[in-house]
Amino acid sequence: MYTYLSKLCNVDANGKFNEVYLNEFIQSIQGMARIEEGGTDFLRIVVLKDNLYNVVEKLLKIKDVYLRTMVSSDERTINGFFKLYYIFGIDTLSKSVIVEVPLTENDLIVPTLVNLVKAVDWYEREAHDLMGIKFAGRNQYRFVLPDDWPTDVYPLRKDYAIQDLMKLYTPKVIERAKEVEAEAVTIIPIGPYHPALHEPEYFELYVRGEKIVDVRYVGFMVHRGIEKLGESMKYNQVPFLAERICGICGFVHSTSYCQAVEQALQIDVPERAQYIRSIVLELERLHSHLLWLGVAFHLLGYDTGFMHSWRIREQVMILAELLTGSRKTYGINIVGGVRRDIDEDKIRKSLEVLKNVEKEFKTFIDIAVSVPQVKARLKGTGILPKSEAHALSLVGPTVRGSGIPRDIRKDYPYAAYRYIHFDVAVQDECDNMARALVRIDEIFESIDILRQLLDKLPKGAIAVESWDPEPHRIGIGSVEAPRGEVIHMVITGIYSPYRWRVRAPTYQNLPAVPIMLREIELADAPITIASIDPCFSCTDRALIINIKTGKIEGVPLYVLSRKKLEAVR
Amino acid sequence: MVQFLKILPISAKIGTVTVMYPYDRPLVTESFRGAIEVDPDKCIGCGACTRICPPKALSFIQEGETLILRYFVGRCIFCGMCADTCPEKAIKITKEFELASDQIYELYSDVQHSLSICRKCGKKFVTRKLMNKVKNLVKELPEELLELCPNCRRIESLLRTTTTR
Amino acid sequence: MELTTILAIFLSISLYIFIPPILDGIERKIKANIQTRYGPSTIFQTWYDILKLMSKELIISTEVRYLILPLSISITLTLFLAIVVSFYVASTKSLLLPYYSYAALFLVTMISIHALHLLLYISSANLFSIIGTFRIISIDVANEVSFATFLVLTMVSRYVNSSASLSLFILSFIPLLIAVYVSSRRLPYDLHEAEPELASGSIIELSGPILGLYIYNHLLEKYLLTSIPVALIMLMFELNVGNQSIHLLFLHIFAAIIYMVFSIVSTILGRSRIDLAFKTLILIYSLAIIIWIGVYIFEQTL
Repeated sequence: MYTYLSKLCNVDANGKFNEVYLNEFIQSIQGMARIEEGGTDFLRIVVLKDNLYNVVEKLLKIKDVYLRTMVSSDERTINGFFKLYYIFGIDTLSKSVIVEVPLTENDLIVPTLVNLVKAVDWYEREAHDLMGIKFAGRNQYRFVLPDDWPTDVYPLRKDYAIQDLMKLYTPKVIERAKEVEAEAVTIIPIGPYHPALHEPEYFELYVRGEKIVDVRYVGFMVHRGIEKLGESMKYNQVPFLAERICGICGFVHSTSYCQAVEQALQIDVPERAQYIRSIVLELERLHSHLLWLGVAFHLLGYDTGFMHSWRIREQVMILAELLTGSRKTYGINIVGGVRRDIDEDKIRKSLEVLKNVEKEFKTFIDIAVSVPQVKARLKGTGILPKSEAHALSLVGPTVRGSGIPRDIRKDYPYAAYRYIHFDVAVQDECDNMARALVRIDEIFESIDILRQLLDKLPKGAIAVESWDPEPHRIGIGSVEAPRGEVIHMVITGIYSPYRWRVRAPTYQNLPAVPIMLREIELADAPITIASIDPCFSCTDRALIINIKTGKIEGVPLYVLSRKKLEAVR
Repeated sequence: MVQFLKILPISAKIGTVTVMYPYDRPLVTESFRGAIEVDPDKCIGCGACTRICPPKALSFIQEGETLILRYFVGRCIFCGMCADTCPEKAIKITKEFELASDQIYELYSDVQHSLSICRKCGKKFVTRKLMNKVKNLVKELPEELLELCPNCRRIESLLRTTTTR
Repeated sequence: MELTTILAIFLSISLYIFIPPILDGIERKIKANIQTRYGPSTIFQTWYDILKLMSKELIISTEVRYLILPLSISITLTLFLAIVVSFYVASTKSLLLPYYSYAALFLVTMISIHALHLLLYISSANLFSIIGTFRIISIDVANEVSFATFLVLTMVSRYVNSSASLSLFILSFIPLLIAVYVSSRRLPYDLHEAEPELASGSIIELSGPILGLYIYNHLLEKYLLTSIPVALIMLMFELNVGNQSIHLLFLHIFAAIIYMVFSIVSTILGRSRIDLAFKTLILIYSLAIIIWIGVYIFEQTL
């Protein structure tokens, strides 16, 4: 609240203090680390792994520092090292601090930072799984990859070949099949599905009667290897891949990637393109929050609310199709700008649709929130204390419902958000109702922002004429998605990104779910898990293993189902 | 207190929003991007679309003396990058989205080009149309170097520059 | 008894057998209309669903062999109750016993039907089923007792000899309707079958013909429940409007109207939670009883 007020009055008291602290910090690490030039948006500090703990400890003394993401990168072909990049963000200064740790191949052990920053837990496990970097002082087990993945095969390394995996991969199911003397085995991974969720996640809820006692989460059922895939595509093909990372908020991923590359190569995107990107981003926020409201009402049993809020959302979808050419995967982002323009006629239609949506939504939400069951079940459940929210570096409406006004649009302004005025929606109660109210407030804010943007749309080109790629530069792009902060880091290569790191907001928010689920009724578990707005996507594959020859082929499920169909005919 | 009852007059006013799809109004707006159509007269077989296509729905297949540009609807993501990139503006974005079929060959559409043959080594390296277009655009190319594949052209240029001394 | 009366009773029994799924179809259409969509294509959709379920293969796991027994007894009792209600509404002039014994008969049969349903839910050993059963037991404990209480109070208010008889009657009839609504397991209190929380809850082990039979039984019992207050009024006030067969027509018409009103109410509310539901029900019923007793004493002292 204080930081928010101080920003409003332009006094920036905390900012001044933080500036002082930042300079003190830079002074204090003079002997231990080297400061590299990183441009105006981030500060790059190169540190040896022995000094890592001390440097991060000193950095955390600055107020309001949070861990944005951690990237592990295989740069042996460039400079012979493995590198770890810890990206911290200082909200009040709009600056990121990248702590870089080079590691040699024979010495891949790094001290763990889990006691200092709780949020680094998942990132360390992922770096261990996919890149093979070990962290001293903590226990490690399989996180992203399945349990029977061979131990020394690390997918994200540059010298990873699929033949190694095929040689070493022995699924546990083969022993069992040999025991029962089967000739062939087909694994069709259908579960785990929890009846409350419509996507593959695995929450183990330990209940006593109706109260939940403990929660264990196992995820990554649908790891698709997008980061590795992006390394083999050209720069302008990756936005289309990025858009399909998420089915509801795809445009934020493609914008974030484009911004990362543009920052790395210092490309100046024309203003009109930035306005158009912001317009489409806000439209996406509108439709995503309306979707979430519908799903929340459905989980509470109030199906009428579900139907009405999706009916209101339909107008937004049709508007998005009119502006960009497709209802969901818009496909208008390329590095350096956008591909489709908005003319006067479309602006007029957009304003009409926004007026309708605002009017209908206002009447509807007053009715829906006053339904006695909805009110009684949302208030007081799924409490997330402010201290925990701060310690876990959470993002998005999850953290704004607990009183911390963290919003990338205000803290690290991007695209056209520098040129407009809006408020950050914050609530203090820390329960499910607070998070719902934050999203409802954001819908009204988004409509207001859209009106300002459509009003002020400047003339000009919609994309840069041409740009030249330069290898081995670092860029960070971050965008406020409807669910929180999306951050992409790109290390450029010659024709395609050398390393592309995607961090979706749900990755950062999921560690908060076990805290929210303690000591509540089983009936409130679905709505509590849904209140962080989890976003996963689904795909699955069947493996056919021939025991006799030991040959493994991966067969997509649609081929299996067509074979069966032909057999029936 | 009884505010939640107000949903009833709202529903009464709105009626039903379901669209009886095949018999009712069309579902797409004017900017909708559907499947593409390649114009066989304008296409010169340069391959720019195959290089930019993100899911590789457009690809080249060589069969004897013909180069086939194959468009596979099953992989297409309807992004329209091919239409933006084509130098001859031969690709048109239609509004077709009812593309389902139970015969997979209906999802492929081909544009065929005849290939020119290198007069020295016999390799087929470029379509005839592309070669004619380059001939018309770049007037200063010597005739002898045109009908050769890149390897033979290098050898021939080297011979010419060394033998003219 | 005249031939027309017997024919009318027979007609009423067939209405009891065939109308409930059609009323459910109408309920689904009403619900869809409030949600601005079309819903099922005809009102006979529920009949088609039940018939389709009946045509599927019967699969029961070996641990839950006894599912069919409570279901069959429950259907028999429901049909028996339908016959009894039709018979006695048609013969209000010539009742053999005072009407409150019939009310007692209705009550006992209704509670037995619900108890048989509980037996059905418990006989499947699935975790979701057990959680659902606990929920439905808690609601039933609060509700069935109140149902009986308000039935008695309604009958008592008929014989209270004062001008407040009408207000006492209304004061006990409205909670009776609320008890009937909760007992029909509609939306704020359909906790045993909460789909997002329990994946079909108590009836998760039922499939195929057994599920079809359960759904049919459930619909028949819902309709019967709404017709009991109407029958009670007719019996209490010894309605005598010409031909006895007209009574049966009124019975069905008013029962159907109350069914529709209940369906509209269930569309505009959300699902409650078990501790909230229990507390709310106890609160409402205790308040109603206290008000009733208060008005009664007030009238007696006047």
